[in-house]
Amino acid sequence: MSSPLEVAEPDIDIHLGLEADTPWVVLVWNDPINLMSYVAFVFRKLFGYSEQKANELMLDVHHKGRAVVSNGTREKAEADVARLHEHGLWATMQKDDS
Amino acid sequence: MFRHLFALTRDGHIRVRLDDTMRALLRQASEELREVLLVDEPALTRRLYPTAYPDDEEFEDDYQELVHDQLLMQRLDGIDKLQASIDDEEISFEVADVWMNTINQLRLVLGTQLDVSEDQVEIDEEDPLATSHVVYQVLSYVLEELTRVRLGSL
Repeated sequence: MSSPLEVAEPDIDIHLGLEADTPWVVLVWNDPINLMSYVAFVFRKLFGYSEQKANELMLDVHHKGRAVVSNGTREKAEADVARLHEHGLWATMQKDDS
Repeated sequence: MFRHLFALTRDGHIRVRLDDTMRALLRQASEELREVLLVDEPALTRRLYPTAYPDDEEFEDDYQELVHDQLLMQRLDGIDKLQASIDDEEISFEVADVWMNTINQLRLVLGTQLDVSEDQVEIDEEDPLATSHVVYQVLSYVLEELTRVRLGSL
C-alpha cells in the first residue's frame, strides 16, 4: 500500500511539466484610436522587427482585426503584453491552440 | 511653405519646431492627464489598462495587481519628463519616445471620451465637445509627425 505522499508527488510533477510546455501567443487588437504608423513603430521598437514585418503585422491588425505579434512561455508573453500596454496598445494573451 | 514639426539632426537628435501655442497645449493637456491618471475613473482610463487574460479571471487579477501601479508610476514620470523638456529646441530619441507615449495616452483618454471611430468626421462647431475634438486632432498630428521621424531614425 502506497503512502499518500508517494501518490501526490508524480501528480505535481506532471502538472508543472504540462504547464511549462504550453506555448502562449500575444495578440494585438484593432482599435480606432492608435495610429497605424505608431503601431508599426512600437512593433519595431519592442520586438526589433524589420520594417516589412512590422508593417505586415500592423496591416493584419488593421484589416483582420488582430495579429499574433509574439509567442513563448507564459512569463515571456506576459512581459510582452505589459510592454505593449505600456505603449498604449490593446494586447491580450492566450494559450496557443493552433 | 510646409515645414514638418520635427526633423532628425546630423548628431542623432530630433529638432523640435513646435510653436509656443502648441507647446502650451502639450503642457496643459499633460497636466490634465496627470489628474485623470490619479483619479483613475475607469470610464476614461480603461484603454490605458487593457485586459491581458480575457480567458482567465485569476491570472487577470494577478496581472493587474502586478502591473497597474507600475504603469501609473511610469506614466506620471513620463509627464514630468515631457513637461521638463517641452521648451527644448532639440530632444533625444529617449525623450522623444516619452513624448510619444504621453501624447498617445492623451489620445487614448480623449478618444475614449469622444468615442471616436476610424472614419474621420468633420467637427460640429455646435458640439459642446468641439474643443476636445480639435485637441484630439492636433495631438494626432503631432504624434504622426514625431512617429515619422522616429521611424526614420531606426
